Amino acid sequence: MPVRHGIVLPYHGGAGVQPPAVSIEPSVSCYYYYARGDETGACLRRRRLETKKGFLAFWLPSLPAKKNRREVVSTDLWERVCDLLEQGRSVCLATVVASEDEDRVGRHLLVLSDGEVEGTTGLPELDRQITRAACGALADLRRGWVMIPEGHRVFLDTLAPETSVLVCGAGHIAVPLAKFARAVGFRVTVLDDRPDFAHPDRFPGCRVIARDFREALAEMPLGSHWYVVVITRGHEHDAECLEAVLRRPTAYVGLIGSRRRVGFVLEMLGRQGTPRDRLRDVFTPIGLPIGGESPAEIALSIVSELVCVRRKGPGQARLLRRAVEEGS
Amino acid sequence: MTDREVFEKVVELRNAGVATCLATVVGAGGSTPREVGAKMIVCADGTTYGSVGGGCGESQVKSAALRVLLVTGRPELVEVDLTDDLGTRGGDVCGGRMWIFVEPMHRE
Repeated sequence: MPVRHGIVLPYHGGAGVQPPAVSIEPSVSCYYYYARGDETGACLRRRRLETKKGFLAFWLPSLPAKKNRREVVSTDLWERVCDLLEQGRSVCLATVVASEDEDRVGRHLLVLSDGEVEGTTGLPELDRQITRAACGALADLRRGWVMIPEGHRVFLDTLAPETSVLVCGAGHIAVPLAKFARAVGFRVTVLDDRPDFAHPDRFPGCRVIARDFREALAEMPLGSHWYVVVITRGHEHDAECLEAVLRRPTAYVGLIGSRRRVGFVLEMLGRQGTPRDRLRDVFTPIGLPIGGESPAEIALSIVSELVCVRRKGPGQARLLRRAVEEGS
Repeated sequence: MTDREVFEKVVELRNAGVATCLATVVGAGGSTPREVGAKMIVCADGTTYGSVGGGCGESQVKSAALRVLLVTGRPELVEVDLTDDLGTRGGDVCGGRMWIFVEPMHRE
């Protein structure tokens, strides 16, 4: 028999007392109580029963009680959203959060960047109006709620593919860098040609590639939601990585190194034909100027820069740096 | 937790047969601890993933989630008022207001 999940609450009332479910507060400690299916029978509605230690158990129905029964959210919607984001597509998930027509509340519409629509609110005219608003929200990556006649309040949740960080070079700075970048919500890929360094054990939760830089980069699906941090062990590898990365659009490229080393690499790439304006886009010296010295401090300053670019744009990150340089 | 991680968790919990609610900040005015779009999952046993801002507002959301799961089965729009006077003990003093939509993720 399938296991059904229930909830058990401290119980002080006598027999026949209505379950205090309406006034459940999080401060009431709840205990998980696993019951076998045959203990609950075929009952799908909420019910209560005494348990051994003076607790009251509620079975969670797998469907709402009959009088409230209605079409509920199919979680396949969320699987679909995950799939689309995985494919690198942006979507707008529209949800009716308030409405004079109560049956609309909780209905979803999924609008894709090409205007394709999945799901329905049950009202074709409302679907059309939501689609129009969602396309606008997708165009400028806006999220928020809008009022749609007659009396529907709709939340437009614009979801873009997660921003990804590519770390070229898996040395001592890469370890804290990958960790911090994960913590602030980036998907992280680490690349190095040394399998001992590019080892999954060093980078939990990250995609780790141990392969020749040039070969691996040729196959990377880089794009405008990618942030690339170049911190390899030598300037030849830095140049190799930059040359491959700067051919494609990215949100951010940063290069570690002393002014001398960095100047040499950029100069060489310029001579070899990498467009000068792309070279000017490279953030170097890398990281916000917080005075970092240790590997973890340097990693923190780099990740701070990534967050700044993600939230406020590259202009703000350069402005911060200039302000510090002029101030010192 | 990123939006995608939240959605993946919703799917994972669904597949494990756990009843959950998704809470999303859908509207905000003034200073608030989280931005519009922030999400939190509330399970039937009170476990949460993600955050809609912490503090008393979050307890309000957890209460609503349990009510939705155990009683009504219908989504709710919860208004969280963060305009307590400065110095209020345990008060929410950010100065703004948030609207959080709490919806059940039932398994059909």
